[in-house]
Amino acid sequence: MIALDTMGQAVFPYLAFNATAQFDQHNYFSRVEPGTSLQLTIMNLDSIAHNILIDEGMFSTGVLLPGQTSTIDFGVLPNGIYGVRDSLELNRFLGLSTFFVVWPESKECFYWHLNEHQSDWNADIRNGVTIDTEEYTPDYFSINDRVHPQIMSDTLASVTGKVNDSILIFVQNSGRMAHSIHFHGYHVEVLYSNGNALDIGREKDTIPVKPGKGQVYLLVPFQPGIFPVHDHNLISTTGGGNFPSGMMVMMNIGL
Amino acid sequence: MLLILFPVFGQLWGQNVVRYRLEARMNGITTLWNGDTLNFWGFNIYNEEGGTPVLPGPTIECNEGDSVVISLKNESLEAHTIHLHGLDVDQANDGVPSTSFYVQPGEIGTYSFLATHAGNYLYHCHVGTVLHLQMGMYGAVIVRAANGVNQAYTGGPSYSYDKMWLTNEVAKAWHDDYTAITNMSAYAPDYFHVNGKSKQQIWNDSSISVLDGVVGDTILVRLKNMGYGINRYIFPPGLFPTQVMSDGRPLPSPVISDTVDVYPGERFGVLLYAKQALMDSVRVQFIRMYRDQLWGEEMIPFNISAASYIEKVDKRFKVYPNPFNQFVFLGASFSGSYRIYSVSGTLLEKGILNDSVILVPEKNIKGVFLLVLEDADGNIYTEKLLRY
Repeated sequence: MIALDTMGQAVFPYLAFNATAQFDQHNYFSRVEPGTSLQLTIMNLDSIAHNILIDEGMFSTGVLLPGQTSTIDFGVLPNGIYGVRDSLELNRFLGLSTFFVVWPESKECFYWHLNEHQSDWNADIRNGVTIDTEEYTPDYFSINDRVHPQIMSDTLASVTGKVNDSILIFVQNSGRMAHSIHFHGYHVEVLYSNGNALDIGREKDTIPVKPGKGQVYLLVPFQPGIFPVHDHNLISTTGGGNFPSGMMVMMNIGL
Repeated sequence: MLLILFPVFGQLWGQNVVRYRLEARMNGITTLWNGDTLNFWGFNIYNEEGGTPVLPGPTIECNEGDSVVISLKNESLEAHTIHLHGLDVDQANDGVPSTSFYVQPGEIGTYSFLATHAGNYLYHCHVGTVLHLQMGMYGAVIVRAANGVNQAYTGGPSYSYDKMWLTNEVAKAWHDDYTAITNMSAYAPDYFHVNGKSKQQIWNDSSISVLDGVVGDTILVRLKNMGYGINRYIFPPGLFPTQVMSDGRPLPSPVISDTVDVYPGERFGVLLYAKQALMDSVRVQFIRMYRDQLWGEEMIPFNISAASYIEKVDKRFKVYPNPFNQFVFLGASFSGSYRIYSVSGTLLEKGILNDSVILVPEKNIKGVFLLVLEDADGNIYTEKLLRY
């Protein structure tokens, strides 16, 4: 648990899944090829116990005391997006959520890990202060644990490509709110949605992503240009009361 | 070279050019359902004698295949733009100031696009968007099927007529003094608009309500969410709501459901098949994006009578408004008499028909009444009346 300049503007305590023992506020996520036999090891380097759930609780580490390790053998998983999160909502408020993807590689793959944060709650939760979760009023909205404009330097989030490329975008909403992702310049095809199977096959410019759910979009740009993608609940495009900030990333498509 | 360029030009631009001249202003005033005044910013059609903005902005309409040119004159003291939401315009016409251009005070900006797909779209200012949109700088774009035929999309299912329900919430405190906003995250709307109206304003607006539908009608409703929360439409039984398109594209397969959720920025085309008479309302819930917390609710009256379509065209009388609040105008093309009954069959009122009769059944009692007309030949006509 480290207090740091989490969102480029505010400092608040944060929890994260990292690939190394070095704390990084940016939750680690990854993609594996279909057909891979997958094994996940989680070490608890925090000072309190955690129980980590994968795929909406289909898999669990059980209670992990500080310093303990758990390994889960998934075998070969079907294609999809798999959320990884703490079983306690309060720890998810602190940021302890991520995902992994089982999907064939494409030349261009991008990842949007959505989340929101009520900055004054993070310290309260860590200090044991009771919060009323019905009154959630987040003031920071992040993609890959970064906000606009910092997110523009994240090469895994900022979409780059060329006209007629087949660009895959993997989206996981680890927040408590739904988000409504709006593309300027293009429609995308929804290839996968574990929140609503009816989404699959639809061509959309605005796609709801419900809390805890994941989606895969196929973008085949028909025109060049620089266009934003953002939550159309425009409150989510603010950060600490400033606009533009929050959940907004850019696409840069060349000829 | 010219011989090559001309055919390329022809492919990029439709034969028919539709032009709109809009103005942006920040001095709008409208009345809320409870009589309170709402200050708003918005758009209006250019008028040589000066204009006032309307809420929502003027609807841009064209047919698939048309070229559309919109000029925007900024008649305010702040910069604005038009973002053509969902129309996949090029970067120069996208209305995002950092990647295209501002329309500064006093300037005229021009936006153009080719309407490639019939469907439902939006437009809004993309300067300080979270504020400017909430202040009222938004409107709808409807691209009708090619040649303007009544099809949901070109080659798609047909409809008798269409309605557009463009929603937004209103956080009145922002409108009262936007300079006093200290925490946008605490956005807490207190009014809920369908086409800029609420409560009895909706009931009295025949462009929103369906007051004189008849069995056999197929109604296309165009659902468009310009707010910051979810719209949940709950349709009454008997309409078989069928989602056929979203965001300007046909759905891969139709979805039949009495509940349709529309998230911020989304649009849906829903066909309603009036297969039976009904007098009911469509509920529109305005829901926060967190735990489905309900902000507010509006009702859109829906009245389908049992008359056939041909009978509707030849209808020999009309009542308006219905549903009603205080009184109903009755106009009949024949002489005769009228009677009004309660639902229990008690005769409440009777009289002689003339050109225009004002009916005031059972003052202050809400509910359903039965109106019975009888012409000189003894033919009987009936109509249900609903007081809200």
